[in-house]
Amino acid sequence: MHSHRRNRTRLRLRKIIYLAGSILLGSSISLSAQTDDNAITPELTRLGKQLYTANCAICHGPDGMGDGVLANEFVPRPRNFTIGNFKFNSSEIGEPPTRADLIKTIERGIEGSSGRSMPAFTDFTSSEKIALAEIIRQFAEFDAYGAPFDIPRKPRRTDRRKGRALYTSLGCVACHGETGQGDGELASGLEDENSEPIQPANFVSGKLKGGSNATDIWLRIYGGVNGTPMPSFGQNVSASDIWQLAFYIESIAKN
Amino acid sequence: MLLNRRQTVLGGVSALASFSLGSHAYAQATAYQEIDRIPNASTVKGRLSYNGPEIEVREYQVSKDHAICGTGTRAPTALRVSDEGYLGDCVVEIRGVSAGKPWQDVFSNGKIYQIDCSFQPYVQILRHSAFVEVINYDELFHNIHAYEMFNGVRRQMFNFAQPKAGDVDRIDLKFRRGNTLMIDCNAHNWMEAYVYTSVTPYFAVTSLDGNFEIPEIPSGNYELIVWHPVLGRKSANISVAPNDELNLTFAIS
Ligand code: HEC
Ligand code: HEC
Repeated sequence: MHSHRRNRTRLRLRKIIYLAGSILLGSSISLSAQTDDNAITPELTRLGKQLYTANCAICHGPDGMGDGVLANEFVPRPRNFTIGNFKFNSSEIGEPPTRADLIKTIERGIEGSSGRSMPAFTDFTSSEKIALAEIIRQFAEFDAYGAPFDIPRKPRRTDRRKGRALYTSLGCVACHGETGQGDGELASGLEDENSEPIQPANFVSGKLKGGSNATDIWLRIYGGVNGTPMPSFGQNVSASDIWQLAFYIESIAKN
Repeated sequence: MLLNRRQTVLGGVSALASFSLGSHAYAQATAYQEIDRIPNASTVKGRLSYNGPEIEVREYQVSKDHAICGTGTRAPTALRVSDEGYLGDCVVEIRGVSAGKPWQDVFSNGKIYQIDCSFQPYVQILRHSAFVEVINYDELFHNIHAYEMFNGVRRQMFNFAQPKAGDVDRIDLKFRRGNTLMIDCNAHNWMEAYVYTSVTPYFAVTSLDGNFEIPEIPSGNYELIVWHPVLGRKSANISVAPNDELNLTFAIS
């Protein structure tokens, strides 16, 4: 049942990526007059809306509510931007994402251990990406983007034993499993904020939705994954311990 | 209160007919003004009982952390009805007062305790702009996962780990659209608690014997809200005369 659904999703996806590519060729609106990147001009909003409708609405819905025609094909569902929660943030806990965070998602798409759900949009110009981010900000009703968080420096020494010990003592095992395959004892009953089932990441797959380098992993552990059971550890675990955990998970993902 | 027991309840007295179910947007009232003296103030008090059907509560197997969480099964608190049918954990709010008694500090600083694998208290009322302190008493991993509830949609407000006993964290409540916070713990499914907030200090939570009292109300016409985590929200119009003491005894289902 489940795998059937996934297969169908992949098939559909190939078509969408193709579609997105062909739309992009036609949408080469010139933004050369745009001097200040941060200026939210009516042209920028208009461009963003156009690009959004052509490329994103099919999954995220015409009004950003996560109810596009393909939405039901995906677990987790395409983000409902109007709720205002984002998973892959580099801002402080509780703050909106930075503009760079949204743009990173647009460029890389989203691919986790159970496959790719959001295509990578690699052909947009930087103005087009800014315009798209602006549309998402408007849907989410943030007054401003979050500010990038000043990540404490990486420790020079990697202590794998310490990383492994923290992975057990901090309760990661209960969800992500003894070997990091996303099969801990709590794994099967978890739900996201839409009350839909969600699987803990399988690190062994090597595919992390928010990026697989130690800095990306550090941010996920520090701030949690909004809207899912993955809690933030930044309040009660030191930055250097989070680095050792991040190195440990990075090493599992690389093997 | 035995937590490890299936909680079922029996019906009670009479229903308050004028109550209607409502699920309105939480309209942020125009700024509330605190005044020192309220001329001809009145009190609304009363007693709530439950007259609905028995409610079955889903039970969860305690699969780990037995030393602290116990053994067998546990269920969310759900409905707490006394032997006589009185209903605890009901928020009663009088909405629409524009100028009235000052806020007391306790409503600005909420506390949520994680103890014996439960959240305490089950239902609390706070000022809309309050902060909460979350305190872990259990020597085990808890994550406290909180959602803002609004028109049937839930939005995560925060979710953080408290890996050990003694962890204390302060969270400023930042509601986007709602006024009620639902809290659960992904490591222990039965754990559940609620924070109801208001922009005026005219509210109370019924005690386990169903009693509530809201003093120092200026006279006027207001909306009376009754909210319970399982039974939802009901509202009615209420008219408070000068120097009055209204006694409302009613049952909800
Ligand atoms: C084929 C379906 C699909 C298309 C097309 C699509 N997305 Fe997504 N998108 C998703 C899914 C599914 C998720 C949620 C994935 C998850 O949570 O694991 C998502 C999540 C996101 C997020 C949330 C990232 C975060 O930090 O939480 C952003 C931002 C986003 N998409 C932007 C866009 C934009 C902009 C476009 C158009 C250029 C677009 N998406 C097109 C499926 C899609
Ligand atoms: C209560 C269950 C739970 C616990 C405990 C938990 N996680 Fe997670 N974690 C999740 C879930 C669920 C996701 C997937 C979210 C998603 O796909 O949107 C996740 C995602 C992640 C990610 C991001 C993966 C990606 O695809 O980008 C990292 C990194 C991570 N967890 C690390 C940890 C570490 C380290 C710990 C312990 C310190 C931990 N988690 C504890 C449930 C949990």
